[in-house]
Amino acid sequence: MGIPTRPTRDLRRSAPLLALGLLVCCLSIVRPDRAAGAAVEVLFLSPAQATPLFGTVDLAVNVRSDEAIVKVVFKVDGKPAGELKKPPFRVQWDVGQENVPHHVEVVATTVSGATAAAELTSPAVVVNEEISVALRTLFVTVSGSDGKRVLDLTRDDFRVLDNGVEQKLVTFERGEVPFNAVLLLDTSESMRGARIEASRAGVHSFLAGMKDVDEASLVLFSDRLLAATPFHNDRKPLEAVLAKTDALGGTAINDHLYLALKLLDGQVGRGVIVLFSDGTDVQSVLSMQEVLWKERRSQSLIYWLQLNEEGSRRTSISSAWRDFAANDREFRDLQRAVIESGGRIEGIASIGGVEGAFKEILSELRDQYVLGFYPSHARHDGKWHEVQIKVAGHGGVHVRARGGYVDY
Amino acid sequence: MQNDALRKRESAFRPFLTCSLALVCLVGALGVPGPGAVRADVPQPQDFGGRVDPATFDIPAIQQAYRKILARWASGARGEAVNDLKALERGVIGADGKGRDKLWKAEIQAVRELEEAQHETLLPVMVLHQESYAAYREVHNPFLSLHARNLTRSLAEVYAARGATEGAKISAARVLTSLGSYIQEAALTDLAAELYARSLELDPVNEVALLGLGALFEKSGRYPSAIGYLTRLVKAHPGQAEGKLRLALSLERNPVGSEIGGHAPAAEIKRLLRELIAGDSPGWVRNLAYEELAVRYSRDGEQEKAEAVLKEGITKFPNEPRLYIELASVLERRGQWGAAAQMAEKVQSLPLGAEESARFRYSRWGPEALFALRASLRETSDARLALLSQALGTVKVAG
Repeated sequence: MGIPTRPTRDLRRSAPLLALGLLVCCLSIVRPDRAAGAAVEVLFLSPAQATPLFGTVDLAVNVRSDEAIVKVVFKVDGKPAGELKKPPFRVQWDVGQENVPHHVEVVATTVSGATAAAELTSPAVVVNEEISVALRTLFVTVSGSDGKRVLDLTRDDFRVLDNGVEQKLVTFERGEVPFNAVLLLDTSESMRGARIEASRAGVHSFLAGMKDVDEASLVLFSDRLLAATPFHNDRKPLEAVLAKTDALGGTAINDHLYLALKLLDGQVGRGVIVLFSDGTDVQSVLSMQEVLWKERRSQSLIYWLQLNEEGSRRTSISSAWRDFAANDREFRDLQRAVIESGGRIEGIASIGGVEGAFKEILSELRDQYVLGFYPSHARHDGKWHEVQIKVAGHGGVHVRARGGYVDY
Repeated sequence: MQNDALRKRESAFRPFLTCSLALVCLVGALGVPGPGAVRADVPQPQDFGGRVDPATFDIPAIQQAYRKILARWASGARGEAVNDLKALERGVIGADGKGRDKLWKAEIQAVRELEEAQHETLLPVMVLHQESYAAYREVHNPFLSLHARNLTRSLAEVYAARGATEGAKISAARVLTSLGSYIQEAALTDLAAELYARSLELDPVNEVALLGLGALFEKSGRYPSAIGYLTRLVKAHPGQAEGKLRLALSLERNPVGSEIGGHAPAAEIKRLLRELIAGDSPGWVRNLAYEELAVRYSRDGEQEKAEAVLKEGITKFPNEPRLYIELASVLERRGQWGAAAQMAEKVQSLPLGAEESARFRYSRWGPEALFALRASLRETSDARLALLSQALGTVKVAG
């Protein structure tokens, strides 16, 4: 599992290029080799070009060859970082916390002895107060008055206000922006039987609908963590984990939602959490306020598929860990975290609706607009910035996106 | 005085009382089809050595079968005795509860004869009925549970009243506490609380009853009451680790925030949790003490101390994912993003899901002290089996 360590706070402020490169995989210097009669090519999937590197980083390449690959060797700053004999060609390497350039070289060798290499040099972060602003990325869902999503908007249709001040959009995309999803599934005792089967079907649909560039991790929890997989594009290992998991124990949403947000910190690209649960938190050590604190410093979207087969309003509970008022507060804070993230809460009245709900999230992700801006009045003072998005000339549309961010 | 105490208990558990009263009313008001019909769920003739269906037994026949079961119990054949008692009572009471008065009269009368012959025979008899109550929780017939519960409780009261010794009171309190624990597991919290409270009248330092009442009040969010019982518990049993933990957490949540024992709650909470960490408490208690002490430090803005506590906790419980998750959160609060990410990453490489979490263990009732209490009760009861056997012989001759 690749979780690149974040740079320190000050360095991150000063890394606009890092954010600009978020959604782009890069082809760096490539040295194909046809000398031995084979066509071989090495392409970097990670890290992205011009990305400063800190801590443990994912190094990943795609090797194209018309014959079998016998090995792929990774080197970082001249030191061996790993050797793989079969795909996926991905290793992790700790480059440390120093703000220095790093040189990554990957050499692939085919069965006939042909080789090809790719290399890149990551930059150090330029500490310059004049450009010390991080790109803010907004994932925006726009719906018409009929509930259908509006897909024909252009950059000029959007106005983004940061604490009421209009911002200049520097990036604009729609549709096929890759994502990393954490499928965060409640497998507590109450999910036993048909519910966990429905959960499996939903996950299956979601994974089947992913594109080659999308990745997902499966985090299964009850009162404890039952499984946490690396991010994969291949759905088989994920489905295998889910297939062998039993439903047992209590429910601890907060701790595992925090973990999901943390796992997405290390991923490049759009981060999405799909929480599927039929209950409320009982056993977490972290309060939802702690998770909300984290959520406000994240750019991930949280979707909450809330299975409520009884169809009735939620009833208050008192538990060994919290009284009625505290449990109610936890529930409200979870709702708040989901809404603030720009995701949504989907109530599911019957298990027959679970699979469709997963599919609908996937469809929504495909239809999102991705807007980026550099805040014009960033102060890094830890204060909350409210973000509003307006769509000009399209009356009656509903716009949903992250409601703000902490300026840090 | 006793009525006042009972009223207070009922008032404290009024939300739970409704369900229990409803059950009792239901039991009393259910319609009654005629007796004697052989149903699929009553014991068949072969269950009683080829004899007839127990639903057709008259009181002497029930008593005869009951005495045989008691003799089997007295001989040490525990499992067989409980199974036979279940079959007899199930057959006599029936699915509709029609035979419950007949069964009550028959068994009470038989026990009274034994008690007159030898008072101490009551103890093994009530332990048998308590065990049948535990077995009836798996059987969906409320009449059987009600019968076993009421009989056990009545016998315990008689034993305490006529025994007139401290030992008799303590043993009766243990029976009531053990029964209360079974009832607490079945989530009949008002009734469990009532039994615990009665146990404490008989034995004011009954460890499990104090812990049970503390846990019940804690679970219902009535922290001042929980603190009262748990403070008594810790004072009487200083080594009661679970009680100490529940006391610390009840103090943590208590909105009143009054001073306890001259210490500010925050200081007392930390002291209790540190004691648990340093002591030889059960692993799940120490694990939670680490987690909760870190929470307390975080709330007080002492993130550095929270980090140190969690790191120490990880050295003691290196496979506990929650400690890493909590540490990641603390580190992130301190601006240590990279270290926080490493903690999250570490979680993925741990062996996961093999055991219930300490926090889940805290949510369910089942203290170690209860097992000790039941073992002690059984030992005391076993010491009286010979008396029971002897009394049965006497009664049979007299009969």
